[in-house]
Amino acid sequence: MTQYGFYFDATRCTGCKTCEAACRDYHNLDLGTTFRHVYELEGGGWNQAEDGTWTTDSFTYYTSFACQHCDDPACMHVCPTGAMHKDENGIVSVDTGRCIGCGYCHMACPYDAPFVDRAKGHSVKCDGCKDRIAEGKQPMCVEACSMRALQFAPVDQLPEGERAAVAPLPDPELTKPNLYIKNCAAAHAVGDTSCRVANEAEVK
Amino acid sequence: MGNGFSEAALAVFTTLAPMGACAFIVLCAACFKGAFEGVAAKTLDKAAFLPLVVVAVGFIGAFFHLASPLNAFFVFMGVGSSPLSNEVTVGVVFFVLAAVYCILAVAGKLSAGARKGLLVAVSVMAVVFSVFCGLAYTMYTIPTWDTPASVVQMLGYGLLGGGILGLLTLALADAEIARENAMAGAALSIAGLVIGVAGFAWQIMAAQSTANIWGTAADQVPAIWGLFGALAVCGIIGAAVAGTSRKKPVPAALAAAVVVVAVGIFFARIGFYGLYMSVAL
Repeated sequence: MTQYGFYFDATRCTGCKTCEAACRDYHNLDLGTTFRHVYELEGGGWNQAEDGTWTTDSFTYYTSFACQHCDDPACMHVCPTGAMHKDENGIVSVDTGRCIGCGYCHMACPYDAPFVDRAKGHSVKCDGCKDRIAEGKQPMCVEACSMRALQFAPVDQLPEGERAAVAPLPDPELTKPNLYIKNCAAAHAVGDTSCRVANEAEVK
Repeated sequence: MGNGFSEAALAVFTTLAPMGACAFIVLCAACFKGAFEGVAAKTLDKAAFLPLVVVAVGFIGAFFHLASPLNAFFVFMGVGSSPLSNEVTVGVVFFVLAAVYCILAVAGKLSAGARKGLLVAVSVMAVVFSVFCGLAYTMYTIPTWDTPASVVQMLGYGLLGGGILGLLTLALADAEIARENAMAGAALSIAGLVIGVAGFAWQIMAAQSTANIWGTAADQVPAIWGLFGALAVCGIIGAAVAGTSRKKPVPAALAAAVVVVAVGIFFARIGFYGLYMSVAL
Protein backbone atom coordinates (compact mmCIF):
# COMPACT_ATOMS: atom_id res chain seq x y z
CA MET A 1 0.00 0.00 0.00
CA THR A 2 1.25 3.45 -0.88
CA GLN A 3 0.95 5.85 2.01
CA TYR A 4 0.21 9.42 1.06
CA GLY A 5 0.82 12.25 3.49
CA PHE A 6 1.04 16.00 3.86
CA TYR A 7 4.10 18.17 4.27
CA PHE A 8 3.77 21.59 5.88
CA ASP A 9 6.50 24.21 5.78
CA ALA A 10 5.81 26.45 8.77
CA THR A 11 8.62 28.80 7.75
CA ARG A 12 6.56 29.77 4.72
CA CYS A 13 3.03 29.88 6.14
CA THR A 14 1.60 33.36 6.69
CA GLY A 15 -1.65 32.13 8.21
CA CYS A 16 -3.73 33.46 5.31
CA LYS A 17 -6.10 30.46 5.47
CA THR A 18 -6.49 30.23 1.70
CA CYS A 19 -5.95 26.47 2.06
CA GLU A 20 -8.92 26.28 4.41
CA ALA A 21 -11.14 28.43 2.22
CA ALA A 22 -10.27 26.54 -0.96
CA CYS A 23 -10.99 23.22 0.73
CA ARG A 24 -14.31 24.45 2.05
CA ASP A 25 -15.26 25.80 -1.36
CA TYR A 26 -14.22 22.68 -3.28
CA HIS A 27 -16.03 20.33 -0.90
CA ASN A 28 -19.05 22.65 -0.67
CA LEU A 29 -18.88 22.86 3.12
CA ASP A 30 -20.85 25.26 5.29
CA LEU A 31 -19.05 28.25 6.72
CA GLY A 32 -19.05 26.69 10.17
CA THR A 33 -17.34 23.49 9.08
CA THR A 34 -13.98 22.70 7.62
CA PHE A 35 -11.75 19.77 6.78
CA ARG A 36 -8.58 21.86 7.18
CA HIS A 37 -7.67 23.92 10.20
CA VAL A 38 -5.19 26.75 10.51
CA TYR A 39 -4.24 27.40 14.12
CA GLU A 40 -2.64 30.68 15.11
CA LEU A 41 -0.41 30.15 18.14
CA GLU A 42 0.99 33.03 20.09
CA GLY A 43 2.56 33.74 23.43
CA GLY A 44 5.36 35.44 25.30
CA GLY A 45 5.41 39.07 26.37
CA TRP A 46 7.56 42.01 27.39
CA ASN A 47 10.06 41.88 30.24
CA GLN A 48 11.72 44.85 31.90
CA ALA A 49 15.35 44.48 32.94
CA GLU A 50 16.91 46.11 36.03
CA ASP A 51 18.37 48.88 33.89
CA GLY A 52 14.87 49.78 32.70
CA THR A 53 15.24 48.41 29.19
CA TRP A 54 12.56 46.17 27.70
CA THR A 55 12.92 42.94 25.80
CA THR A 56 10.32 40.70 24.29
CA ASP A 57 10.02 36.96 23.84
CA SER A 58 6.66 37.19 22.11
CA PHE A 59 6.06 34.83 19.23
CA THR A 60 3.48 33.79 16.67
CA TYR A 61 3.36 30.81 14.39
CA TYR A 62 0.80 28.96 12.31
CA THR A 63 -0.03 25.31 11.91
CA SER A 64 -2.15 24.12 9.01
CA PHE A 65 -3.45 20.59 9.12
CA ALA A 66 -6.33 18.39 8.02
CA CYS A 67 -6.80 14.65 8.54
CA GLN A 68 -3.32 13.20 8.97
CA HIS A 69 -4.28 9.83 7.44
CA CYS A 70 -2.47 8.29 10.39
CA ASP A 71 -0.73 4.92 10.30
CA ASP A 72 -2.66 4.01 13.45
CA PRO A 73 -5.83 6.10 13.27
CA ALA A 74 -7.85 6.46 16.48
CA CYS A 75 -11.00 7.00 14.41
CA MET A 76 -10.62 3.58 12.80
CA HIS A 77 -10.03 1.90 16.16
CA VAL A 78 -13.33 3.06 17.59
CA CYS A 79 -15.50 2.94 14.46
CA PRO A 80 -18.16 0.33 15.20
CA THR A 81 -19.05 -0.47 11.60
CA GLY A 82 -15.70 -0.48 9.85
CA ALA A 83 -16.93 2.47 7.76
CA MET A 84 -13.75 4.33 8.63
CA HIS A 85 -11.00 2.59 6.72
CA LYS A 86 -7.74 3.15 4.90
CA ASP A 87 -7.82 2.90 1.13
CA GLU A 88 -5.07 1.70 -1.20
CA ASN A 89 -3.32 5.10 -0.95
CA GLY A 90 -3.34 5.03 2.84
CA ILE A 91 -6.07 7.65 2.88
CA VAL A 92 -8.47 7.31 5.81
CA SER A 93 -11.87 7.30 4.13
CA VAL A 94 -15.52 6.88 5.10
CA ASP A 95 -17.63 4.12 3.59
CA THR A 96 -20.79 6.19 3.49
CA GLY A 97 -23.03 3.17 2.90
CA ARG A 98 -21.91 1.67 6.16
CA CYS A 99 -21.44 4.70 8.46
CA ILE A 100 -24.14 5.12 11.10
CA GLY A 101 -23.11 8.65 12.04
CA CYS A 102 -22.49 7.84 15.69
CA GLY A 103 -19.73 10.44 16.00
CA TYR A 104 -17.24 8.16 17.74
CA CYS A 105 -14.62 8.97 15.12
CA HIS A 106 -15.08 12.66 15.85
CA MET A 107 -14.73 12.07 19.58
CA ALA A 108 -11.66 9.87 19.24
CA CYS A 109 -9.65 11.84 16.69
CA PRO A 110 -7.12 14.04 18.53
CA TYR A 111 -6.85 16.23 15.41
CA ASP A 112 -10.56 17.07 15.31
CA ALA A 113 -10.65 15.81 11.73
CA PRO A 114 -13.84 13.82 11.06
CA PHE A 115 -17.27 15.07 12.03
CA VAL A 116 -20.84 13.93 11.44
CA ASP A 117 -22.83 15.73 8.79
CA ARG A 118 -26.35 14.90 9.92
CA ALA A 119 -27.85 16.16 6.66
CA LYS A 120 -25.73 13.68 4.74
CA GLY A 121 -26.21 11.01 7.40
CA HIS A 122 -22.57 10.05 7.81
CA SER A 123 -19.15 11.20 8.89
CA VAL A 124 -17.26 13.50 6.58
CA LYS A 125 -13.56 14.34 6.49
CA CYS A 126 -10.58 15.15 4.31
CA ASP A 127 -10.14 12.45 1.70
CA GLY A 128 -6.96 13.91 0.25
CA CYS A 129 -9.07 15.10 -2.70
CA LYS A 130 -8.76 11.55 -4.02
CA ASP A 131 -10.63 12.30 -7.23
CA ARG A 132 -8.12 15.01 -8.05
CA ILE A 133 -5.22 12.73 -7.10
CA ALA A 134 -6.58 10.09 -9.45
CA GLU A 135 -6.45 12.73 -12.22
CA GLY A 136 -2.83 13.47 -11.37
CA LYS A 137 -3.68 16.76 -9.68
CA GLN A 138 -2.90 18.04 -6.18
CA PRO A 139 -5.44 18.45 -3.36
CA MET A 140 -7.18 21.83 -3.43
CA CYS A 141 -5.47 23.08 -0.26
CA VAL A 142 -2.03 22.34 -1.71
CA GLU A 143 -2.80 23.96 -5.02
CA ALA A 144 -4.36 27.03 -3.40
CA CYS A 145 -1.44 27.79 -1.07
CA SER A 146 0.17 30.90 -2.48
CA MET A 147 3.31 30.39 -0.35
CA ARG A 148 3.74 26.77 -1.46
CA ALA A 149 3.82 25.78 2.20
CA LEU A 150 1.84 22.57 1.63
CA GLN A 151 2.69 19.42 -0.27
CA PHE A 152 0.92 16.11 -0.69
CA ALA A 153 2.61 12.96 -1.99
CA PRO A 154 3.59 9.43 -1.03
CA VAL A 155 5.41 9.93 2.27
CA ASP A 156 8.71 8.59 0.93
CA GLN A 157 8.68 11.38 -1.67
CA LEU A 158 7.97 14.22 0.76
CA PRO A 159 10.74 16.59 1.89
CA GLU A 160 12.29 15.84 5.27
CA GLY A 161 10.36 17.13 8.24
CA GLU A 162 9.43 16.28 11.78
CA ARG A 163 6.42 14.04 12.17
CA ALA A 164 3.62 16.44 13.27
CA ALA A 165 5.77 17.52 16.20
CA VAL A 166 4.46 20.93 17.16
CA ALA A 167 2.01 22.37 19.67
CA PRO A 168 -0.98 22.22 19.78
CA LEU A 169 -0.91 18.85 18.02
CA PRO A 170 -0.80 15.69 20.14
CA ASP A 171 2.20 13.44 20.60
CA PRO A 172 2.70 11.88 17.15
CA GLU A 173 3.47 8.53 18.76
CA LEU A 174 -0.22 8.29 19.62
CA THR A 175 -1.58 7.75 16.10
CA LYS A 176 1.51 8.07 13.88
CA PRO A 177 0.16 10.87 11.67
CA ASN A 178 1.34 11.26 8.08
CA LEU A 179 2.01 14.96 8.41
CA TYR A 180 5.61 16.12 8.19
CA ILE A 181 6.46 19.61 9.33
CA LYS A 182 9.36 21.93 8.76
CA ASN A 183 9.05 23.94 11.94
CA CYS A 184 9.75 27.64 12.19
CA ALA A 185 11.91 29.16 14.93
CA ALA A 186 8.90 30.16 17.01
CA ALA A 187 7.40 26.66 17.08
CA HIS A 188 6.71 25.15 20.48
CA ALA A 189 7.04 21.49 21.24
CA VAL A 190 4.19 19.00 21.40
CA GLY A 191 2.48 19.13 24.77
CA ASP A 192 3.48 22.74 25.44
CA THR A 193 0.43 24.59 26.72
CA SER A 194 2.17 27.90 27.36
CA CYS A 195 1.16 29.19 23.96
CA ARG A 196 -2.34 30.44 23.26
CA VAL A 197 -4.64 29.76 20.33
CA ALA A 198 -5.26 33.26 19.03
CA ASN A 199 -8.09 32.29 16.68
CA GLU A 200 -9.99 30.15 19.18
CA ALA A 201 -13.41 31.37 18.03
CA GLU A 202 -12.50 30.34 14.50
CA VAL A 203 -11.22 26.83 15.11
CA LYS A 204 -13.09 25.60 18.17
CA MET B 1 -14.73 19.51 24.65
CA GLY B 2 -17.67 20.39 26.14
CA ASN B 3 -21.30 20.93 25.98
CA GLY B 4 -22.78 17.84 27.56
CA PHE B 5 -26.27 18.68 26.37
CA SER B 6 -25.16 18.08 22.78
CA GLU B 7 -25.08 14.40 23.74
CA ALA B 8 -28.50 14.40 25.39
CA ALA B 9 -29.68 11.38 23.37
CA LEU B 10 -26.70 9.37 24.62
CA ALA B 11 -27.38 10.61 28.15
CA VAL B 12 -30.95 9.27 27.86
CA PHE B 13 -29.59 5.92 26.72
CA THR B 14 -26.97 5.62 29.44
CA THR B 15 -29.51 6.67 32.05
CA LEU B 16 -32.38 4.40 31.15
CA ALA B 17 -30.83 1.26 29.66
CA PRO B 18 -28.62 0.22 32.62
CA MET B 19 -31.38 1.24 35.03
CA GLY B 20 -33.95 -0.98 33.30
CA ALA B 21 -31.45 -3.80 33.01
CA CYS B 22 -30.44 -3.81 36.67
CA ALA B 23 -34.09 -3.77 37.79
CA PHE B 24 -34.11 -7.47 36.89
CA ILE B 25 -31.67 -8.07 39.76
CA VAL B 26 -34.47 -7.16 42.20
CA LEU B 27 -36.84 -9.53 40.36
CA CYS B 28 -34.18 -12.21 40.62
CA ALA B 29 -33.79 -11.64 44.36
CA ALA B 30 -37.57 -11.75 44.77
CA CYS B 31 -37.71 -14.98 42.80
CA PHE B 32 -35.24 -16.65 45.17
CA LYS B 33 -37.46 -15.53 48.08
CA GLY B 34 -40.42 -17.32 46.52
CA ALA B 35 -42.26 -14.28 45.12
CA PHE B 36 -43.23 -16.13 41.95
CA GLU B 37 -44.71 -19.12 43.74
CA GLY B 38 -47.87 -17.42 44.98
CA VAL B 39 -51.02 -16.07 43.39
CA ALA B 40 -49.28 -12.85 42.32
CA ALA B 41 -46.97 -14.67 39.92
CA LYS B 42 -48.98 -13.85 36.80
CA THR B 43 -49.22 -10.16 37.70
CA LEU B 44 -45.50 -10.11 38.46
CA ASP B 45 -44.71 -11.60 35.08
CA LYS B 46 -46.74 -8.90 33.34
CA ALA B 47 -45.07 -6.18 35.44
CA ALA B 48 -41.64 -7.48 34.40
CA PHE B 49 -42.22 -5.87 31.01
CA LEU B 50 -41.83 -2.44 32.68
CA PRO B 51 -38.03 -2.58 33.06
CA LEU B 52 -37.79 -4.15 29.62
CA VAL B 53 -39.68 -1.16 28.17
CA VAL B 54 -37.35 1.22 30.05
CA VAL B 55 -34.36 -0.49 28.41
CA ALA B 56 -36.09 -0.27 25.02
CA VAL B 57 -36.75 3.46 25.47
CA GLY B 58 -33.05 3.86 26.27
CA PHE B 59 -32.10 2.09 23.06
CA ILE B 60 -34.53 4.28 21.11
CA GLY B 61 -32.76 7.31 22.62
CA ALA B 62 -29.45 5.94 21.34
CA PHE B 63 -31.03 5.42 17.94
CA PHE B 64 -31.90 9.12 17.76
CA HIS B 65 -28.24 9.89 18.32
CA LEU B 66 -27.32 8.23 15.04
CA ALA B 67 -27.29 10.14 11.77
CA SER B 68 -28.05 6.94 9.82
CA PRO B 69 -29.89 4.54 12.11
CA LEU B 70 -30.83 2.32 9.17
CA ASN B 71 -27.19 1.23 8.93
CA ALA B 72 -27.25 0.15 12.57
CA PHE B 73 -26.82 -3.54 11.80
CA PHE B 74 -23.27 -2.82 10.63
CA VAL B 75 -22.45 -2.02 14.26
CA PHE B 76 -21.69 -5.69 14.89
CA MET B 77 -18.78 -5.52 12.42
CA GLY B 78 -16.61 -3.88 15.06
CA VAL B 79 -17.09 -6.38 17.87
CA GLY B 80 -13.80 -6.93 19.62
CA SER B 81 -12.18 -3.75 18.35
CA SER B 82 -14.71 -0.96 18.82
CA PRO B 83 -15.88 -0.25 22.38
CA LEU B 84 -19.21 0.94 20.97
CA SER B 85 -19.75 -2.33 19.11
CA ASN B 86 -18.95 -4.26 22.25
CA GLU B 87 -21.43 -2.22 24.25
CA VAL B 88 -24.24 -2.57 21.73
CA THR B 89 -23.63 -6.29 21.33
CA VAL B 90 -23.71 -6.94 25.06
CA GLY B 91 -26.84 -4.74 25.27
CA VAL B 92 -28.57 -6.69 22.53
CA VAL B 93 -27.65 -10.02 24.16
CA PHE B 94 -29.07 -8.73 27.43
CA PHE B 95 -32.23 -7.45 25.78
CA VAL B 96 -32.90 -10.69 23.91
CA LEU B 97 -32.32 -12.72 27.07
CA ALA B 98 -34.62 -10.47 29.12
CA ALA B 99 -37.28 -10.46 26.40
CA VAL B 100 -37.15 -14.27 26.20
CA TYR B 101 -37.58 -14.42 29.96
CA CYS B 102 -40.57 -12.04 29.93
CA ILE B 103 -42.30 -13.79 27.04
CA LEU B 104 -41.79 -17.31 28.39
CA ALA B 105 -42.85 -16.19 31.86
CA VAL B 106 -46.07 -14.58 30.63
CA ALA B 107 -46.80 -17.62 28.48
CA GLY B 108 -46.45 -19.81 31.56
CA LYS B 109 -43.67 -21.84 29.98
CA LEU B 110 -41.13 -21.49 32.77
CA SER B 111 -40.54 -24.08 35.45
CA ALA B 112 -39.33 -22.80 38.81
CA GLY B 113 -35.79 -23.93 38.02
CA ALA B 114 -35.77 -22.44 34.54
CA ARG B 115 -37.13 -19.15 35.90
CA LYS B 116 -34.37 -18.93 38.49
CA GLY B 117 -31.72 -19.86 35.96
CA LEU B 118 -32.93 -17.32 33.41
CA LEU B 119 -33.26 -14.55 35.98
CA VAL B 120 -29.74 -15.19 37.24
CA ALA B 121 -28.46 -15.07 33.66
CA VAL B 122 -30.40 -11.86 32.96
CA SER B 123 -29.10 -10.27 36.18
CA VAL B 124 -25.50 -11.16 35.38
CA MET B 125 -25.93 -9.76 31.88
CA ALA B 126 -27.46 -6.59 33.35
CA VAL B 127 -24.30 -5.97 35.37
CA VAL B 128 -22.08 -6.83 32.41
CA PHE B 129 -24.11 -4.48 30.19
CA SER B 130 -23.74 -1.62 32.69
CA VAL B 131 -20.00 -2.20 32.79
CA PHE B 132 -19.80 -2.18 28.99
CA CYS B 133 -21.81 1.06 28.90
CA GLY B 134 -18.90 2.58 30.81
CA LEU B 135 -16.21 0.79 28.81
CA ALA B 136 -17.66 2.29 25.63
CA TYR B 137 -16.09 5.61 26.60
CA THR B 138 -12.62 4.41 27.49
CA MET B 139 -10.83 5.72 24.40
CA TYR B 140 -7.08 6.29 24.68
CA THR B 141 -7.26 9.71 23.03
CA ILE B 142 -9.79 11.05 25.56
CA PRO B 143 -7.98 11.18 28.92
CA THR B 144 -11.00 12.44 30.87
CA TRP B 145 -13.01 9.39 29.87
CA ASP B 146 -10.21 6.84 29.61
CA THR B 147 -10.39 5.97 33.29
CA PRO B 148 -11.95 3.20 35.39
CA ALA B 149 -14.16 5.95 36.85
CA SER B 150 -16.19 5.87 33.61
CA VAL B 151 -16.98 2.22 34.22
CA VAL B 152 -17.48 2.49 37.98
CA GLN B 153 -20.03 5.28 37.68
CA MET B 154 -22.05 3.49 35.01
CA LEU B 155 -22.25 0.39 37.17
CA GLY B 156 -23.33 2.56 40.10
CA TYR B 157 -26.03 4.33 38.10
CA GLY B 158 -27.41 1.03 36.87
CA LEU B 159 -27.66 -0.39 40.39
CA LEU B 160 -29.03 2.85 41.84
CA GLY B 161 -31.81 3.22 39.31
CA GLY B 162 -32.35 -0.51 38.92
CA GLY B 163 -32.92 -1.07 42.63
CA ILE B 164 -35.75 1.45 42.75
CA LEU B 165 -37.24 0.52 39.38
CA GLY B 166 -37.17 -3.13 40.40
CA LEU B 167 -39.04 -2.30 43.58
CA LEU B 168 -41.60 -0.28 41.63
CA THR B 169 -42.08 -3.26 39.33
CA LEU B 170 -42.80 -5.49 42.32
CA ALA B 171 -45.06 -2.89 43.94
CA LEU B 172 -47.14 -2.50 40.77
CA ALA B 173 -47.83 -6.24 40.89
CA ASP B 174 -48.21 -6.86 44.60
CA ALA B 175 -47.55 -4.48 47.49
CA GLU B 176 -46.81 -7.29 49.95
CA ILE B 177 -44.16 -8.85 47.73
CA ALA B 178 -42.62 -5.40 47.29
CA ARG B 179 -42.52 -4.97 51.06
CA GLU B 180 -40.87 -8.36 51.54
CA ASN B 181 -38.21 -7.53 48.97
CA ALA B 182 -37.75 -3.85 49.79
CA MET B 183 -34.47 -4.63 51.54
CA ALA B 184 -32.98 -6.04 48.33
CA GLY B 185 -34.09 -3.02 46.29
CA ALA B 186 -32.93 -0.54 48.91
CA ALA B 187 -29.58 -2.29 49.36
CA LEU B 188 -29.02 -2.30 45.60
CA SER B 189 -29.91 1.40 45.36
CA ILE B 190 -27.70 2.42 48.26
CA ALA B 191 -24.79 0.40 46.91
CA GLY B 192 -25.37 1.95 43.50
CA LEU B 193 -25.57 5.43 44.97
CA VAL B 194 -22.26 5.00 46.78
CA ILE B 195 -20.53 3.48 43.74
CA GLY B 196 -22.02 6.00 41.29
CA VAL B 197 -21.25 9.05 43.39
CA ALA B 198 -17.73 7.81 44.10
CA GLY B 199 -17.12 7.11 40.40
CA PHE B 200 -18.37 10.52 39.30
CA ALA B 201 -16.42 12.34 42.04
CA TRP B 202 -13.30 10.40 41.04
CA GLN B 203 -13.70 11.51 37.44
CA ILE B 204 -14.33 15.16 38.35
CA MET B 205 -11.28 15.24 40.62
CA ALA B 206 -9.11 13.78 37.85
CA ALA B 207 -10.54 16.31 35.39
CA GLN B 208 -9.23 19.19 37.53
CA SER B 209 -5.70 18.37 36.46
CA THR B 210 -6.38 17.08 32.95
CA ALA B 211 -5.58 19.84 30.50
CA ASN B 212 -4.89 20.52 26.86
CA ILE B 213 -4.37 23.73 24.92
CA TRP B 214 -7.89 24.90 25.87
CA GLY B 215 -7.43 24.61 29.64
CA THR B 216 -8.50 22.02 32.18
CA ALA B 217 -11.44 19.73 31.54
CA ALA B 218 -13.22 20.73 34.73
CA ASP B 219 -13.08 24.40 33.68
CA GLN B 220 -15.17 23.54 30.62
CA VAL B 221 -18.11 22.59 32.82
CA PRO B 222 -18.38 25.25 35.53
CA ALA B 223 -21.51 23.60 36.91
CA ILE B 224 -19.88 20.19 37.25
CA TRP B 225 -20.13 20.09 41.06
CA GLY B 226 -23.75 21.25 40.79
CA LEU B 227 -24.47 18.30 38.52
CA PHE B 228 -22.68 16.07 41.00
CA GLY B 229 -24.88 17.51 43.76
CA ALA B 230 -28.01 16.83 41.70
CA LEU B 231 -26.98 13.18 41.36
CA ALA B 232 -26.26 12.86 45.07
CA VAL B 233 -29.49 14.54 46.23
CA CYS B 234 -31.71 12.68 43.74
CA GLY B 235 -29.97 9.41 44.61
CA ILE B 236 -30.45 9.92 48.33
CA ILE B 237 -34.14 10.71 47.82
CA GLY B 238 -34.55 7.58 45.72
CA ALA B 239 -32.70 5.34 48.14
CA ALA B 240 -34.72 6.78 51.04
CA VAL B 241 -38.02 6.01 49.31
CA ALA B 242 -36.74 2.49 48.61
CA GLY B 243 -35.80 2.15 52.28
CA THR B 244 -39.20 3.28 53.54
CA SER B 245 -40.81 0.62 51.33
CA ARG B 246 -39.76 -1.93 53.94
CA LYS B 247 -42.76 -0.77 55.97
CA LYS B 248 -45.31 0.19 53.34
CA PRO B 249 -44.45 0.36 49.66
CA VAL B 250 -46.42 3.06 47.84
CA PRO B 251 -46.31 2.60 44.05
CA ALA B 252 -46.87 6.32 43.39
CA ALA B 253 -43.97 7.25 45.69
CA LEU B 254 -41.73 4.63 44.09
CA ALA B 255 -42.70 5.86 40.62
CA ALA B 256 -41.83 9.41 41.65
CA ALA B 257 -38.54 8.15 43.10
CA VAL B 258 -37.72 6.42 39.81
CA VAL B 259 -38.28 9.70 37.96
CA VAL B 260 -36.22 11.68 40.49
CA VAL B 261 -33.34 9.21 40.32
CA ALA B 262 -33.48 9.12 36.52
CA VAL B 263 -33.26 12.93 36.46
CA GLY B 264 -30.28 12.84 38.82
CA ILE B 265 -28.47 10.24 36.73
CA PHE B 266 -29.33 12.16 33.55
CA PHE B 267 -27.69 15.31 34.95
CA ALA B 268 -24.64 13.30 35.95
CA ARG B 269 -24.43 11.91 32.43
CA ILE B 270 -24.66 15.43 30.99
CA GLY B 271 -21.73 16.32 33.24
CA PHE B 272 -19.85 13.26 32.03
CA TYR B 273 -20.26 14.23 28.38
CA GLY B 274 -19.34 17.80 29.22
CA LEU B 275 -16.03 16.56 30.61
CA TYR B 276 -15.06 15.24 27.20
CA MET B 277 -11.56 16.41 26.45
CA SER B 278 -9.33 15.15 23.71
CA VAL B 279 -5.64 14.63 24.37
CA ALA B 280 -5.01 17.58 22.08
CA LEU B 281 -7.67 19.50 20.21
